[in-house]
Amino acid sequence: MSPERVLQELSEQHLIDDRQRAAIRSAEADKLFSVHWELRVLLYAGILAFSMGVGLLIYKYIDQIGHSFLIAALAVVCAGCFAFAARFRAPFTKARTHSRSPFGDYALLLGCLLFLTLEGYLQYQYHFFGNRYGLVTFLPAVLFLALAYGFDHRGVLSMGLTALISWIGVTVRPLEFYFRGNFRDMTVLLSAIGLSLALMGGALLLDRRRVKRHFTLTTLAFAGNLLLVALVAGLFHFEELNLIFAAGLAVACFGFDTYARRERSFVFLLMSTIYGYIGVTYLVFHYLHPHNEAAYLYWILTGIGVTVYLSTQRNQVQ
Amino acid sequence: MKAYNETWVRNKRILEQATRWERQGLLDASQMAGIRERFPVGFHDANGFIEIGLFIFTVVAVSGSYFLLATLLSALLEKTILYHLFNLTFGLAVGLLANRLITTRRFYRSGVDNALILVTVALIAAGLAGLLPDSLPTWAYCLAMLPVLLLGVAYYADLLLTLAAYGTLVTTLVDLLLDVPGGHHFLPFVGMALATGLYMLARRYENDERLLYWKDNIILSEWLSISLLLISCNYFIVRQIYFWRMENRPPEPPEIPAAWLYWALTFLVPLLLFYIGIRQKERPLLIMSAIGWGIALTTWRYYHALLSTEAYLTLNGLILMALAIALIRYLRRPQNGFTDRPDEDSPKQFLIDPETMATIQATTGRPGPKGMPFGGGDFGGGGSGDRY
Repeated sequence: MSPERVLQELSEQHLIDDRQRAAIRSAEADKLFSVHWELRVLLYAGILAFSMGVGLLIYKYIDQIGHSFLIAALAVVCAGCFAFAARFRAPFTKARTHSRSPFGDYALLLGCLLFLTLEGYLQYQYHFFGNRYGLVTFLPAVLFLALAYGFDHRGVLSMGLTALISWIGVTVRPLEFYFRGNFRDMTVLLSAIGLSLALMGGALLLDRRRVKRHFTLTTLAFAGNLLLVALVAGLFHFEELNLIFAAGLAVACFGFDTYARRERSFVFLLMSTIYGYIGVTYLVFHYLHPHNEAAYLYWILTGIGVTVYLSTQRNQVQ
Repeated sequence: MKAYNETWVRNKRILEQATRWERQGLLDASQMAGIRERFPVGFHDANGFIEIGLFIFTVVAVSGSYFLLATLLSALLEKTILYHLFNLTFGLAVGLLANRLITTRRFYRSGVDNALILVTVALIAAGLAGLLPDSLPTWAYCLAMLPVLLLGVAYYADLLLTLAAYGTLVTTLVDLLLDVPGGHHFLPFVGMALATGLYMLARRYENDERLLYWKDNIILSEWLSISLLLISCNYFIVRQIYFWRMENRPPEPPEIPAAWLYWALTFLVPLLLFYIGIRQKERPLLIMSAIGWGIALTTWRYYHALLSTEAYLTLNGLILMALAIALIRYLRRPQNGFTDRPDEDSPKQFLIDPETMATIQATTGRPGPKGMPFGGGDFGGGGSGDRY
């Protein structure tokens, strides 16, 4: 339906007068075609391609002349990016702020990506951090989290959280929908649970103090997924502790469900439903061993049950 | 015959447009209230995340029912014809359930109805195709399923069905032409002609008020048609198709006749799309032309690699950044109707989330050289497997 046709409809129903109709029509006629997001994606793709390219390039010609020049040049570009971002940084406030340059956020992002490349190179070539491998990921995690809050940058926040999670030995690959880590290892599992609880606590505390409240969702989604994955993995891998992990999962799902309904953040409702369902299904199949018909009946009843639950939620929360 | 209340669909469109004007300050709140009252929308507005959950668990419940019934009737279903009739009957039953829920629960693209519609049409199409003789070529089965899919699109205006119908149509044509001796010579041109024809048809009717119910489907088929056009004329694709048709295949696909023509098309079509996109200010054309240009360069690199992957990525990254920065600076003041100021027509939500995802993905990409010891999780600034 064209805007003109909608206008005609509103006019026929006497919902707008002729003067307003003319104003809207002229606004529509003067409307500009915005390529804002398309250009941002172009810039973004450029940054990712460039940082990825140089990331590989520095290892490729590692023993050749000009190599140190390349490293030095990258260090200069990296520092330049941070300097540019800092120059146009808006003063820190608890609320949302924006860089005074349209390129500030992107310079910061490129700076952070190059920092990772250079840091990895330092460790590879000179064993800069010796055998303290934890430091290699912990350092950028702390740096990125600080930069994210200082510069108000959600992309850098995600990078910091990713680094923090990989510090305890878990890899996040959202495009492949996975968290990978050795969850059979109790230390990794407990660190994941501890870290996610600490992150969620921190996020909620900062949210209550009204510090960068638009970060809350990102941090909670990261930490929440980590917590639920860890609990489900614990349920799968440690049979003797089934009860504890099942109880933990139930509490976590209940918590996310409550939070989702209070904050109207449906992503947490979806998370708690799916992880909770996986947990319950695992327990049912592990202990009751339902065969064919019983299993199908289980899918039918639970499928309908969850569908009804979700659709009534929608009505309430809306 | 339409599954959903057409007046509500229409009112929904009017409200969307009015809300946009309200945000621009062209309508005030009391007027908006009046508009909402005059153009009621009875559908239950659902949230995207909830819809995903509803879709998944509806599929769980329906599959459970399907397999339960199939198990209970397993003795009967050993006869092939009865099995296909069972599929048809089950599909029809799910369709009736879908209609009942659409009426009583006022679902409109709410996840539950999407899942039920998909199961209905898939089972009916598969059941009908199963009733055909066994040894027919693929295109014949596709041709038999196409009317069912198209009827489904006409009745439900569902987007996944539209995608399936488009895919089936293209598969029919490709398979048919590859079956005909020498047909592969015409395949690129038939593909291009089909894509262009469907695109022009879609553009002609996208704002037609009589087709309002299917507006999203028409827009989707525009995107699909441009993609088909880019694929049909791509040198790599054409060369592969010639290769498939060869009797004795050498290890590598050999050069094809009229290679220069396909090379020219690979590069010229995206340029042409870009030109038309700028002239007509059409977002799908502009976005697809950029993607098409990327595909063209990648195709060229596949056969004539000038630089190593690393150098290529670095250089392209620099070019992309420079281009974007130049354009953003240039468009600080509107030029020829284009602006850099964000507005609501931009597919913002589509872009932000993938951006975050890609950042994280790039952050945790494989570290440059193999075997570099890190804390345990992969974490390095090196390359990730993605094209970005």
